[in-house]
Amino acid sequence: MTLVSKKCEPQPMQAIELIVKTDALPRFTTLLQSGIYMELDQGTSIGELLFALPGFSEKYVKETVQTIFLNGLPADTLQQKLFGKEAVIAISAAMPGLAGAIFRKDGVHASLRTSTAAELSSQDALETPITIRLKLFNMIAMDRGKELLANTCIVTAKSIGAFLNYRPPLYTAILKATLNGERIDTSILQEILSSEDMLKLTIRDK
Amino acid sequence: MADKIFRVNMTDLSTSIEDVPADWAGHGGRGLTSNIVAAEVPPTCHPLGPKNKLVFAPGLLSGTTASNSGRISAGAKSPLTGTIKESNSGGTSAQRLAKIGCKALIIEGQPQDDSWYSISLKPGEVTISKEEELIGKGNFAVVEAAEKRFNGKVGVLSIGQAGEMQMTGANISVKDPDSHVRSLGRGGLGAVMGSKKIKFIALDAEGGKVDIADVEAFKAANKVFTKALVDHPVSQALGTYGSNVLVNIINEAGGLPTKNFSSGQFEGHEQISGETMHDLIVERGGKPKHGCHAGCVIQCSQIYNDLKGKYKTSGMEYESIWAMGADCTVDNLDQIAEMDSIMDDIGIDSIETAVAFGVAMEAGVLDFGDSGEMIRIMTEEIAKGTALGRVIGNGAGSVGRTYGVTRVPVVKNQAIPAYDPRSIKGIGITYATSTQGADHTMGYTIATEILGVGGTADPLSKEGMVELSRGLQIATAAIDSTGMCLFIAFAALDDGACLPALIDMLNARFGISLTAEDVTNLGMSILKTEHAFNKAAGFTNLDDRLPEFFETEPVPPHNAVWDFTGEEIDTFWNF
Ligand code: SF4
Repeated sequence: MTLVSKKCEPQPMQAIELIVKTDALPRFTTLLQSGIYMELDQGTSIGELLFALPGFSEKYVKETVQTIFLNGLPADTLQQKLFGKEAVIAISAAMPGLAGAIFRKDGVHASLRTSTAAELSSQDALETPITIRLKLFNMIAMDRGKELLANTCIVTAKSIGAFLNYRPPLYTAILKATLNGERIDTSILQEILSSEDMLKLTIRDK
Repeated sequence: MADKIFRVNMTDLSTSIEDVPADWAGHGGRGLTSNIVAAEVPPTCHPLGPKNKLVFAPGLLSGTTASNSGRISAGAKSPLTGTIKESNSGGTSAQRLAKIGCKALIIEGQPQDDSWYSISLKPGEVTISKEEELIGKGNFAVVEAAEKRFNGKVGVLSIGQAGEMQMTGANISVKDPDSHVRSLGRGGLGAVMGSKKIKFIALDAEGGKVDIADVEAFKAANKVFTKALVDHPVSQALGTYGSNVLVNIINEAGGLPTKNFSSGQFEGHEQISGETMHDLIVERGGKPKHGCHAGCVIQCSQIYNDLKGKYKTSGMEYESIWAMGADCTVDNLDQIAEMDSIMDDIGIDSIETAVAFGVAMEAGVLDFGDSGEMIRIMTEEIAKGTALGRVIGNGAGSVGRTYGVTRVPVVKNQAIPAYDPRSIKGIGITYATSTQGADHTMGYTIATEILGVGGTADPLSKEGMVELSRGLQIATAAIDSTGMCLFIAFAALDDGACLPALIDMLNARFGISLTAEDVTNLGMSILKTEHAFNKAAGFTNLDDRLPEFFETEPVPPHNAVWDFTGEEIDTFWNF
C-alpha cells in the first residue's frame, strides 16, 4: 500500500504466505472482517486511505462503499482526516434494513442516528504515525479481498487463527504455507496463529 | 373470478363464502386484516376466547407475477401484546389464497369440546374436518402429512406444539416452495389458531387464477419494478449474505444488543456474521441465495446445511440469529441453526423465544452462552409444555415477571429485536409507538419523499425524528397491504421508477387509478384504525414507552441512553 507512513519504524514481524486452492480463495477474504492494520501519516483522510488500496478506484469507493464507520460511529465524508494514536475504520457496501439506511453515508434517514462521527481534532495529532485498523464488511471483502490479500496485509495472528479454527475445511485448501520464506507444515500454523502478535499475511492462489 | 371472503365458524362448524363488502374492497394484506379485526373483534375480548378472530389475507398483488409479491398477512387481537396484530410471511400460502379467490379467510368462534380440526380451501369451497392424527406433532410432520393427504402443491398454514398449548410466543408456520417452513412469527398468532383448535389449513389452488384488468400495463410496470429490484446493490448483499449481513455493521455501531441488552457489542460477532454464514453454507453445499416464494428476485433466504452437508434449516434472518447469538452470547452458527430448526418445528417465534432465553439467563435459570441447555429446554420443556417451558414459551415479559428481572426488553410485552434503541434512536421511536409492540418491520425505510410523508420539522430535532418515524410507519403500513416483501424498500428509496411502477401494477391489477397520495392515505388510515382498536382495548399513550432501563443504563461502548420524554413521543399521533 503506497500510503504507509515513511515515519514508521519497520517492526520485526513474522511473514506468512499461503498458497490456496483457487476455488477456496474467495472464502479466505472473509478474514478481512477482523481488520487489517496500517500506519499512516497524521492527517491522512479516509478517502486517501481507501483510494490507495489495491482495486479501490475512486469510482468504486464513491459508488460501492456506502457505509463508513469511524471509531464505531457512522461517517458521512471521505474527506474526514485521521489524527491521534489509533482509529478503527469499517467499510461496507449497501446495507439493508432501516438501520442500513440510517447508517448509510449521507443517507436520507441519517437524522435517525443517535450520533455521527465528529471530525477528529488535528490537536490530537502526534509525531508518530496513526495506526489504523480497517475492517471490510459485506461485498467489499468479496469484491476486493483477493487483491488485498495478494498484496500482503498486516493482521493479528490470533484473528487468522480464530478464522481458520472456525472453518477447518479451509486448512485442506492450503496448498503451501511459508513462514518467513521457509516452507512449513499447515499443522504448525495453529500454534503460530495463537499469539497476539501482528504478522504479515499474503494469501494467493498461485 | 371475483375475490370472496371465506368465513369459518368454529363454534358451530359452519362455513360461508361471502361477497367482499365495499369498505374492504381496496384493502389487502395488513390493511385488510387490521380492518376486519377492527370491525369484527371486540377490542376488550380475551385474545384466546371465542370472540377473537384470526384473519388471513394475501396482499393486493399476491398471486400475480409481480416480483416479491408473495407475502401473506395474518391478523387478530394478539395474546402477547393485547393489541391489534398483523404478522406477515413468505411461503406459498399468499399465492395459493389469491388463486383460490380468497380475499380473506376469517376464522371465528371456538369449538365447545376438545376436538381438533383442519380446514381446507379450494376455489369456491371451504371444508372443516376433524383432526386426530397430527395433534401433538411438530410443523415438519404436519406439512409432510398435509402434502400426502392433498397434493404436493398444496399450501399449508400450521401450528406446532406451542400453538396447541396456546403459548403467547407461538407462531403460525407457512409452507415454502421446498416444503420447509416460514413463519408468521410475531405476536403469538399461533396461540390464537390453537385456541380455535385448528391444527392446519390446506390451500389447494388447482384450477384457480388471479385476474388482471390490464395485462399489458401490468407486465410493463412489473418489468420496470423488477429491474429496479435486481439492479440495486442492497439486493446483491441480501442475495449473498441474507439480512444477516447486518451483524458486523450493527456490532460496529455498538447497537447489537448483547447479553440481554447489557452491551452493544458481542465479542463473538464474527462467528455469527453474514459473511461467515455465507462461507459455511458454500463449504457445505448449501445455498446462500434462495427465495421464500416463487417470484422473489432478491432471494435473501438461504439453505443452511449441517457439518455433514445435510439440510438443517433455511431462511434464518438477522434478527433471529442476533437473538439466539449476541443476546444469549452463543457464538456458533451450527447451534443457532439447530435451535432455529427446533423452533420452526415447535412453532414458536425465534425472536421472542430467544430474547426470553436472554432474560432467563439474566435470572440464572441457565448460563449465558449455554446453547446445549437452550436446546434441551426447547425440546424437553417448551415442546412438552412443562412449567418452565410455558414460562419461556410465553415470551420475554413472562420470564421477567416470573423471575423478577428488571432488564426486560419488551414494548407492549413484545420482545425488542436486534437494534439497541439507545444506539439507534430512530428505531427506538418506532418500537415505542408501533401499534403492535416492538417490531423492527413497522417503520421501514420507504421513500418518504415520494409518498410525501417525510415531515417538515428539522430532521435532526427530536420532533423531526418522531415525524420521520411516523412517515416510515405510514408508508410501511401501505406496503404491507400489497403483499410485497419489505426488502423492496431500498430500490424504492433510490430508484425513482420503483414505487411508481408498484402503484402502476396495483392500478393495472384492479383497473383503478391510485396515486401516491392515495397510497399514503391508505397507510395513514391503517395506522389510525389500529391505534383506535388499541385505545378501545385500554391502551394509552403511557404504553408507548420503552422500558425504564434504557433510560438509566448506558449501553457500552458509546454509553448512550434513551432520552426521549413521554411528551416528545406522544407527538407521534398528531396527525
Ligand atoms: S427478499 Fe427474502 S424475505 Fe423477501 S421475498 Fe425474497 S426471500 Fe422472501
